[in-house]
Amino acid sequence: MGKVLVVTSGKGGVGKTTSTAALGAALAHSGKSVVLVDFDVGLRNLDLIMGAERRVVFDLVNVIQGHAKLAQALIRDKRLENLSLLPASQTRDKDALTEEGVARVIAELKEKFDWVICDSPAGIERGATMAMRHADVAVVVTNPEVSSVRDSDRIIGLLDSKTERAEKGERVEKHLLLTRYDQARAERGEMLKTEDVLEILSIPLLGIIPESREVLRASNVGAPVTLSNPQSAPARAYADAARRLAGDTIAMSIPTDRRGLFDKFFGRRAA
Amino acid sequence: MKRIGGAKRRRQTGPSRRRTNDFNGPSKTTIALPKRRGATKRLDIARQSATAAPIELPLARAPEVPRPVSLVISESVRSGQSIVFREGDVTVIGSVSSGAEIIAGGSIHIYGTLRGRAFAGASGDPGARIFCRSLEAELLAINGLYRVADRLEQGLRGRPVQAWLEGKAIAMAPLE
Repeated sequence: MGKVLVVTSGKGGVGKTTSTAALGAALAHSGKSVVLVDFDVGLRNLDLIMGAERRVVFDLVNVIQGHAKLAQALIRDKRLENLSLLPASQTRDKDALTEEGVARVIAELKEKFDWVICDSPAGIERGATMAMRHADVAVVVTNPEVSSVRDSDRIIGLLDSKTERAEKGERVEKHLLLTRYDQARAERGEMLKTEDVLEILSIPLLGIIPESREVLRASNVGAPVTLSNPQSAPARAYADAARRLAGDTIAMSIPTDRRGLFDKFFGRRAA
Repeated sequence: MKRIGGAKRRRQTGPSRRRTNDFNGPSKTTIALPKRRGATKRLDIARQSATAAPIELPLARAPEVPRPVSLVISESVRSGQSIVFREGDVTVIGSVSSGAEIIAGGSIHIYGTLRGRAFAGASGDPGARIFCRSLEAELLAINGLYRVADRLEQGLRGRPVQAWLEGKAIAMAPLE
């Protein structure tokens, strides 16, 4: 029986999809079978980040409504054979997700895969609650910034009340993934410090992903950052986070990109 | 901040605890399970006392002290959650996040940081107080009189504080 993991945040643009792809690829790379499920019906992006947009035939909504079999909708990754994607529909909206339909698809995926990773849409409406509904583990993606932290806090409240586990009186295991972290700016007081975020959210830290132009570069070539450039700082941070998810104990560190001479002289341009 | 497991939650369910966490604002549904359990428990008690009452009455009549009621929440209260307990005191073993609120008929005790809103004496009690281990509140109210974050004394921020009512104003002092 596989584990269901939801990647969620409340706020948009903090890096849920990037993190879903990167963690999924890192877990698959370690030999586990992984499926990524895009719950952002109507605004699907995960297929682009995974570079699978030209191979989408059927999607999650088709499977939920019984118009396609699960096996027909799953897209196998070209780089890692134990990594699959279940894309979202771009033409429908979140109302197409029925409770029973989602439950059936997740149950079926749990039989087949070690990790079922659900990429949640932003917000706290139907799409987001459906994505977290069956989760065993949650990765709460947060930027070191007040509005993101407050929205994450709200999402943690929902994870403790609206999920299947919460309703059974059990707990969803929650982890904080701090993304777009800029050490220099945090030190200058322009960003919240890691300790401040941890103090407010009080859930264990899974990893700190440094802000990097590699992330944008990776999404433009349609590859998870952990596959496109495994030596880059964000890729190493995601790889560590994935190992922690799998149960390994690794000391927390914030990897940095090695800067070339050019960067040293001309500063770091925004990616 | 340590959180205490789900099992303990059952005990917190007081007589009319309402813990809202709904998308339509803080007036609708509740965290399903604890409430349901609390509700059935309450019903059972009501039924028992109703059937047992005629027999036990002669013995139990003399001392009529109302049972004190309080609500203990053994975890942090998250943004968007609202704890409403008009029957008495509320104790939170954890923090109250920005965007969360505690509404209590009696006093409010927070063994963590108060970042949200606290309404003590909400059913009309000028003697109610608010205590917290660290003050970062958005709003404090006692018996309908309130102070917003802007009007809190800067020297008290981040410190253990108690607040009470002095006439028509909220008074505050450090708890050290």
